[in-house]
Amino acid sequence: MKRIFLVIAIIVIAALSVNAQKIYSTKMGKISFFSNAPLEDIEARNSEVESKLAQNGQVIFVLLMKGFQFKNQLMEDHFNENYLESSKYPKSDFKGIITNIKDINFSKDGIYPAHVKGALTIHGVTKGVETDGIVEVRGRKVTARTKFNVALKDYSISGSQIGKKIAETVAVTVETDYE
Amino acid sequence: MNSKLRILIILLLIFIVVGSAVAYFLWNKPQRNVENEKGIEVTAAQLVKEYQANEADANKKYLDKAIQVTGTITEIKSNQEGNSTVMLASDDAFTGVLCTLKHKTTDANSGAAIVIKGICSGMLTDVRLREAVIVK
Repeated sequence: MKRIFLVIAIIVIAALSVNAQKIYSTKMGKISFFSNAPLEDIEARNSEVESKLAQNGQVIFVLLMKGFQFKNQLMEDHFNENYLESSKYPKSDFKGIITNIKDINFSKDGIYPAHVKGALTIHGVTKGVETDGIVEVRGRKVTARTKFNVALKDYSISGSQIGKKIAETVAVTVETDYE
Repeated sequence: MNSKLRILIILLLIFIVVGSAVAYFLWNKPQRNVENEKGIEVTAAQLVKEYQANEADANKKYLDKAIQVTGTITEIKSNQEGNSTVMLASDDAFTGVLCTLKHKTTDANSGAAIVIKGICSGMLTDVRLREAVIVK
């Protein structure tokens, strides 16, 4: 009889701990990129990124290419029409996992280093990406930040005007507050 | 010969001046302003329905176009840049039309009927409008 209770107790505890796997999400995450160009630096941001971060380390980001905003309309047009072909490939996404999730304590405030590994799809091409970032826990608010470089040729981005006008890699910055 | 050369130089100068003026105006092309565009009129429910039925077809019809959407506000928030965001209800409780407003503040209220004009970026969980302004 005692043993049965013990088994039930273990099952209940296991079930509870699975349920405790909280998922943080947002529909308004921010991803920006920066690229050196001879004429003028190219900078754009997208503040309409959907993202989920689970306490088991799973992360996902999805964004619409047309959601990138530039300070210069000509850059925005070139970005969408010549380089990224945004009408043909309207979305980009990243699906991955925080490999050192055990080091992140979601119930204790702090800034935790995070190693992320996953697959990034841009311009219809999927490539593996590995980067270091941080997960900041403050009360019930969680923020994920990272920076990594994307080589344009990895994603077959070679617009008609590519020449030497734009750099071969762009720096991507992720800064996402979860609810 | 001398006059021919002179004409050539003048032509060349005109070409340079016109060329740089064109380049200058292209470079300084003004930001798109949805307020100056006539929007495709549609209800939030219809827009979501079309996107759910066939995303590719809906993108052909709406992507990057100015759209004027009529709907009921379910939620007002602000994004990380401080711009207001307005969610409009559709017939599907799990999805809606999510508009990022051009302005930081809005006097719109949750539950109210509203007409919003913005540029369609496509669909994630919700159909997204950017650079939006409140029409009514």
